[in-house]
Amino acid sequence: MHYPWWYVPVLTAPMLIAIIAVLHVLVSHYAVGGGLFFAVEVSHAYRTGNREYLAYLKRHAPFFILLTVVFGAITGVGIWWTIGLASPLATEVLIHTFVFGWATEWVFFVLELTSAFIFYYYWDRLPPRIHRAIAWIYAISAWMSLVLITGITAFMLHPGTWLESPSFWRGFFNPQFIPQVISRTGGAILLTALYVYLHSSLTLPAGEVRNLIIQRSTRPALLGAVLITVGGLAWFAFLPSSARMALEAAAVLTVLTVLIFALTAAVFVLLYLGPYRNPGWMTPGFAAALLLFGLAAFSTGEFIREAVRKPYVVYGVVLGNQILEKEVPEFRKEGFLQSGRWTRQFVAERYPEVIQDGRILPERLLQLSEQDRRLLGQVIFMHHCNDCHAAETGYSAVGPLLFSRPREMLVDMVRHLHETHYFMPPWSGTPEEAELVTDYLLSIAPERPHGIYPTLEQLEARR
Amino acid sequence: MMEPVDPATLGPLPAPFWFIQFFKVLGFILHMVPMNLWFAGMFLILVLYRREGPARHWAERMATLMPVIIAFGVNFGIVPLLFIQVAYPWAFYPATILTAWFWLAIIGLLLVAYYGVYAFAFGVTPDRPMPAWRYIAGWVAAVFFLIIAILFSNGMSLMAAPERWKSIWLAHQVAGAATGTGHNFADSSLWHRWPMVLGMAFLTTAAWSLIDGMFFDAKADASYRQWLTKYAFVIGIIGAVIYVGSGTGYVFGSWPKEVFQYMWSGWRLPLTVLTGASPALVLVVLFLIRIRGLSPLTAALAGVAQLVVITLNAVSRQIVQNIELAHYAPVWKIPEKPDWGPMALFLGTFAVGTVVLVWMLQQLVRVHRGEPSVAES
Repeated sequence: MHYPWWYVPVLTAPMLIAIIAVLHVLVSHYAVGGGLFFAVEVSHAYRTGNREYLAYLKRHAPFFILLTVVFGAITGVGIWWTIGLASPLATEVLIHTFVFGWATEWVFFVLELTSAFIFYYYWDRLPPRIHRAIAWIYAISAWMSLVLITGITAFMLHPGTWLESPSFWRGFFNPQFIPQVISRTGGAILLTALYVYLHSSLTLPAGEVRNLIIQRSTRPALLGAVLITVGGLAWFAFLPSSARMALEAAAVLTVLTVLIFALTAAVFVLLYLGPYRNPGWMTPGFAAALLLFGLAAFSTGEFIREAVRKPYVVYGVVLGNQILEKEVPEFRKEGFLQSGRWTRQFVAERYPEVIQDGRILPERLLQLSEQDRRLLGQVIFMHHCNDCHAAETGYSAVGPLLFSRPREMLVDMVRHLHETHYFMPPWSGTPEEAELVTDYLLSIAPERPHGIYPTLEQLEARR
Repeated sequence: MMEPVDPATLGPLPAPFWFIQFFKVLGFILHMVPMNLWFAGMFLILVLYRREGPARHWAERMATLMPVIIAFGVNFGIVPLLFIQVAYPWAFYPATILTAWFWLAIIGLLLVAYYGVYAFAFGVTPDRPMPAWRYIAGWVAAVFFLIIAILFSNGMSLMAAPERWKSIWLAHQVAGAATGTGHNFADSSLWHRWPMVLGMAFLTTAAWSLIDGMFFDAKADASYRQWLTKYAFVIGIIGAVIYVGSGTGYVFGSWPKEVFQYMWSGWRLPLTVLTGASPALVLVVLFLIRIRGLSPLTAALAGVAQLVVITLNAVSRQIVQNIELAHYAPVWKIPEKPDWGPMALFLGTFAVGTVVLVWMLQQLVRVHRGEPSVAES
């Protein structure tokens, strides 16, 4: 808690990361797979002298550029923007660990951009051999950028031996690295085929050229589906045990995991029956449905990837609430409000009476008025809990989650947070601060709705 | 003022501080060139596109280049942003979080502006009017770029002013959590710094126009080049006046006392003076071109002179930033633990990448000269 916390009502700040990240990956994977698609298909078209196919590829290029170079690039920067805003400590840890990984990725971005523009703007002006070479430079650069960023994002889920001996290489070549590179490469190839189906079915009349494009795109798409499955299984096999348990314990994650495999299987079958065996079936409607299936599977995959890390942002290092794991004992001893730069400052501004020699005295916190206790409880809630929970309404709101629990039960739950639910972060405050946050939680708990089984007190009263 | 940060408590830097500063400044210079071109360039395009003759030709040419310019400008912006987060996370994150919604708005505005530029550029056809919606899209882009510059200066100026964080935070918080609606618009340095960039943007556009007209524009004839010399001189003067005017206000009106004393003493004194006076160098070159005519040498000189302006600015800004932040956390006291292996990976990739880049550009040069490619022959 070295940084101020950004309060985003209803949604919570980290959900902004999720929204932008999902939008980005749906395009960035096309940027990677599209590179391979162009390199392979332009080579094929030149080799076979198929002018109609080349003409189609040339028509596909501006669509590709407009989507990847603009939307993909800007949302990529957008992810950076939002992780710094919503998860600053984790971003700091990642940047200090992998700054040169990112810097290396930037070199590939420059090559990607340059080759993409040359490939498009100098179409018909470059000799075919050079044009092909430029396409391959793009494809390799784009794939390398996938490899580099995957090393970093995979690290967040499983840093592996980095935890014992931190170094760039140990962190980068983590247990999740290869599984995620395989599945993301497969995803990039498959998703690209789905974009190509939609684009070609919308821009080309039914006929030989369209069938050729669709058939040629389907083989790699089937390979992509296989790679996703293989990578996905390896991802599961190399999950940290807590993440695997989170996957099994949370019903929604179990359902989503089954869903992603089901969607991938459905896409595989549809690809085989449709474009592979019967390319003539590929109408714009069919192509749009396939793409939607693909986008849904991808978004689901990203959601699961994020969710299983709980309670960490960087597994074993940074907790979701922007506290380093190693800081927890100190926070519990010194107090949550005292340990945070911004919370300490807030208390000093509003309640100087609880401070002595620059330290917040926990016992004085409980002597404050009820209203002030609730406000300080809200301060703790904001900085300890709001990264995953909205307050009264919104994303995973605590009000509806905790209503009607007796005070003693709530205090006990707060003090034993990670023991009650192992995917929650540990309570990082003093017993007195647990009382304050309970005061706040009770104040936002909604009325007990009708139709719910009565409380024990109500049952006792009926006897 | 928030409590100062004890540098000893910060995580060690993964590279020597000079290395981080070097790449931050280098990245900033690389970013400034295309960013300047879209900042002033879009307005000039929109005005000149409605005219005829060389003005229209310049606007068409600049408009068709603009998507590529923006792509590289955004890409080059990654470098300083990366190294700023390595060197000053304790200042960068609080400042951007306090102003989060304004900071985040940059992404949305940039996305719309970028598509606006494409809409305009794809509508450029010689001797034919452009559909109104494309022209409006161009204006939206130009205005959004202007707003983006203000919002960016908002975040960056607040980063260098930790003494302002507390009051902004306390005025925009819910239970101590920042609402992200804070802003630094009351800081006079913001209103001096972004016009300075606008001034530089005009100067960069002037220099680029001459380079383009001399080296890259195959359709540029003598009369167009003649027009360019006058045009570049006029926008150069406009740029220099804005730069010097706002720069004077920035230095004498908004520098804190300790920054002022530091920058006006010792070896920083000539640097400060040169930074302020450097546009004169560009103007001299532009004046020479105006009276003697455009040649490969003078066009290249104009480019080099403007690069000197941008470089001096970036270096001075870096020094000022360190001093502004010194009382919050003395950056030179942050422990270092260089990660040599990954650094070598980066530098090696950078070197190989540069070779590949040069090879690709070489192919373009061959196309423009009508030569067969090496690989083909």
